[in-house]
Amino acid sequence: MNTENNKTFDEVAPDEFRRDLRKLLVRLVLLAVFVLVLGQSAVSWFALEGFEEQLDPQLHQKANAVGKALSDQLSFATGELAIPAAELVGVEEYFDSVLATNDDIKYLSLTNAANDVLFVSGISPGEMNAILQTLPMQDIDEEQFADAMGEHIDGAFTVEGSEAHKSVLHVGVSSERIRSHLREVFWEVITIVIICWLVTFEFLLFFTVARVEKPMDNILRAMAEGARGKFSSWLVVRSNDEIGQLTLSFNRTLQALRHRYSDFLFDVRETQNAQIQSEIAGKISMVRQAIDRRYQFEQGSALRDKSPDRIRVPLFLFIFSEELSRSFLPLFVQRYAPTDLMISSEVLIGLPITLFMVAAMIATPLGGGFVDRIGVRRVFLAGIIAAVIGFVGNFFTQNYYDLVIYRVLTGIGYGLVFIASEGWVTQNAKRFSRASATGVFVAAVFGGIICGPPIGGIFADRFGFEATFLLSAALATISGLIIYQVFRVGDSRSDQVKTASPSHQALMLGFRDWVTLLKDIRFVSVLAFAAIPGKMMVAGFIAYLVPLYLNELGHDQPSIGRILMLYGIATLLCLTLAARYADRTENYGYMVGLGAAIAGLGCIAAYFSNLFGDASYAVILAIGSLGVGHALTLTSQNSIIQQVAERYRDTLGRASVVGAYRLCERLGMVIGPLIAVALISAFGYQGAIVGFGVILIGLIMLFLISNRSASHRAIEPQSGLTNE
Amino acid sequence: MNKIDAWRYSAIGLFVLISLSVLPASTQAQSSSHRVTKPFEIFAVVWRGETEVEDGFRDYLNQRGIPYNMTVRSLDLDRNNAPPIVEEIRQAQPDLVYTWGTGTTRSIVGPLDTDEPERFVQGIPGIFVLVAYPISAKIVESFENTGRPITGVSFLASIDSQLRAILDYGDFRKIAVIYDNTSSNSRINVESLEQAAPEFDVELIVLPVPLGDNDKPDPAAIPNLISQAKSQGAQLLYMGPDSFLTRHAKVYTAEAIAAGLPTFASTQAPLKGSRAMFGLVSDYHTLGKLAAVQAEKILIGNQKPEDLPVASLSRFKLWINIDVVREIRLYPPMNMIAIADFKTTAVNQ
Repeated sequence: MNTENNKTFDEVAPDEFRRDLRKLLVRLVLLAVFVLVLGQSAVSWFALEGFEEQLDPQLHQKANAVGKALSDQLSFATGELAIPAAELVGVEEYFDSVLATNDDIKYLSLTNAANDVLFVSGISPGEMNAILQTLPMQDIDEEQFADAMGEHIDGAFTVEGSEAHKSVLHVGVSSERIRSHLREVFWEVITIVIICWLVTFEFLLFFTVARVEKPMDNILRAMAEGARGKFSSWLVVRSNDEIGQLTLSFNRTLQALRHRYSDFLFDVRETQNAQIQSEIAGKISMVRQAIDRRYQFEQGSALRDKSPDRIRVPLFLFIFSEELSRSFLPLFVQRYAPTDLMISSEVLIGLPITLFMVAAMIATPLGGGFVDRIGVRRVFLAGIIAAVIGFVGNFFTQNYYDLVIYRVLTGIGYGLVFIASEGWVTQNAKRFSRASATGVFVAAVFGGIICGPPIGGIFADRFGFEATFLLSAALATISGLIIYQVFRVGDSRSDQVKTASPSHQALMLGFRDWVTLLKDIRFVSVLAFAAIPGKMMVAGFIAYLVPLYLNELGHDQPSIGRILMLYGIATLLCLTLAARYADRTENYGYMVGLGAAIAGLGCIAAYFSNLFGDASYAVILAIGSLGVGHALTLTSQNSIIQQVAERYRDTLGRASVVGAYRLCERLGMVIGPLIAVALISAFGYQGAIVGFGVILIGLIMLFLISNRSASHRAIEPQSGLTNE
Repeated sequence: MNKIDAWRYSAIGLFVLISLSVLPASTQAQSSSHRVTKPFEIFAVVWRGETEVEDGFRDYLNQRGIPYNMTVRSLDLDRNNAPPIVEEIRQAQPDLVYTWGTGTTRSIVGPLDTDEPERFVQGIPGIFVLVAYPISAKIVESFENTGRPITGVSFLASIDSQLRAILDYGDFRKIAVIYDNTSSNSRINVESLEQAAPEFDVELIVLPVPLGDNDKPDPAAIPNLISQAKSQGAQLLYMGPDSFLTRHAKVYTAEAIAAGLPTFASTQAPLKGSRAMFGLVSDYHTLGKLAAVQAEKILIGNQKPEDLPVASLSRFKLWINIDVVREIRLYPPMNMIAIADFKTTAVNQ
């Protein structure tokens, strides 16, 4: 790599050390998380085990309640009324009426002493016979519970009657309902374990980086400067721990060196002034100049730890807070959507989501300008304030219009926070490879996307939709407090780097520049056929369609949240692999095509929902493949757009091209819900998923075609460009 | 389908015991009334001796602490015994006249449109019980508005409920009705049955009892009628509120059992006194209590009988004589066993 070659001898060792330290820290964090997961798993396992133990008594109790009541009735008929068991009338109808009101009871059957089935309801006589075969031989005069085919508990109850007519009532209690409840709890536990893992990882990494890695890094940098004779830097002391002490004493050493140097200079000046012979004075002066050339002692600027990593936790928390309402937002809107308007309710539900995206889209490039002028910290905090007002407003929402206004406010906040974070990463990414800077961003955003919906779902289920907005406000406030505390006022502006954010750069483009860009087939094709559809799926499918559809399929909030979480998990799991693979093959177009195809086909599979048994599985498949697809396309799309931008380096500027791309890409967020509304009203939910898939596949075909023709032609204009 | 069946059972509300829901309403009536020291005089006229209805009537009044003296006279199955009792009532001037059965009521208080009011008790509040069709018997104008200072309690389950009970027991699609053509009660009952039958997909075989030499229905014809019903394919015999058949119920039900035919009864007498197989009937004791509630409203609540609608029971008792069931080997379905009252007839006890 380029930076590797430029490294001076002095820098190599600290870089290696830095890398090793990072490795060590990451390992430590992973170890901590691993131990945590181990503990959590053990506790969860024991808890679930306890559940399992309670399962059998519960089933027995159920079987007992029904069995006793029924066998009493039957005993009355066969004993007191002396009706022979085999000649009882309407037994199956009687059983049916009991089954109709008891979901847990799988079957009821009356058998005679010879174990022949006289009457059975709920299952076929053949199945009942099969169950009887598996039951242990029993004493007919005693009630007894046995496991029947592993699916239910069979309770056998004696029915009175003359000796020849004794019969046995079998009550089959299905464990399905209790088990499904158990499964629910299991998934909730898993969800929380995963989220704890992520949150712990984020925070541990954040603190170890802030408290250990960065200060050490700064010391190393100062030492490296010392090796080059530069003793002018000083270090910011942030803590009173060992590293703080080290930093402090390092500063003292530098300070002492500076004092000694100025004493020495004083002596030299004295000596020089004392010389009468100009020749000697001249020599002394030359030595002084030589020293000045080699060493730098006057106090310079502070070395600050400005890595992209520092924005990670605040950004994560903010995305987390916004994603909390992901699983129920359309349902929340539905509750307030006015019914007396001419507009269909689907549109009214989609509108706040669209307007949120519009607000975010407008706030992003505008905020970019502010980042340059007032700094990352203030823009971030402004965004937090807007968002918190929006969240709190939604807590107090009385009607649809309130709701829309506060959503828009949150959208503006979202845009500002996003651009501030992007600005920070771009400002400070120079010393790192671009990949790791984007990694910071992606990790924070997807961390939030994974954690938000399930936690929000669980919370909303327990405390209601409104209360969840308060939780969002609280999380966003914490994010703001971290920014307030960790980012000192000067931090974000001191360098006066005006490279802020690409999104803002896009606004600098003139009309002619846009025309130039929009004539570029590669730019337009990756934008229109891959990037915009990708965002469209996030806003239209994930944020709008899925919560509504899953709700209709009978899922509760925690379950919707968990299913939505799959998108983030699938993306995050595949992202690293996909990026590595894409970089190796360098066939980015192919990767984009593959990703879109996976996402599209996953959606089209919803057409065969019936084969899945439960239509929810089709949704899960679509979400999962969308996550995988996006993982494949995200990095490759970036690489393509970087390649495109490279061509305009000397004309429009690289950042402007990337900014234009980012700006236009967000159009997908705006049109997503609208397309979802149109598809749903035309084809219903299931058809709409298929429709999304068809759109994705159709557009990606266009992308591949245009990409191929563009790459054929690309050689000429590119060579022309370089000739200029 | 079975859920609907279950619904029917409960929704019809035929079975189980009579609901006493009407009773609490009277609680206020008593508590608001002044304390009564002088006992009320109640004059009861019955058809053939006292029944459980009178027991229920007395039990309720006793429970409520209402002081009363009850004089009971019986017509002993003969209307000609009525005039001296009417005279006795006129002399006694009781607070309430209680009459049992259609015949008794008509001969004591007279029909609505009588030309000879002087032959009957007039102007004394009256309560009747065990009158199957009080309107067609011209005792009252309607159930809601009796049109005279008389009210009562109705005791028959509706024809629809009876047919449902029959069909819930078994798939009896051909039902024979043997009846006394000379009794208006019986004729009305048969007409209602004929009206309702098509709706239930039931075919009726209607067999009036032929008249004997004295121009009265001939009891000797009953065995013949039953075998006639049997040969016409009847699956069940229906016994309505028919005093002639009730009188000859022992012969009737014995013949029916011999022919292997189940008998359904709409009144209690053939179930209790003879061997009908099952029936949907009111509980006499509870019926008496309901009559006493009416009486309380008149005596304590100072309400006029003409303002009190004829009261009906909301629930009836499904009475099954299990010994008859065993003999005919027609077992009731399990759903019915859960709610029926099983008895053993006097013959088998």
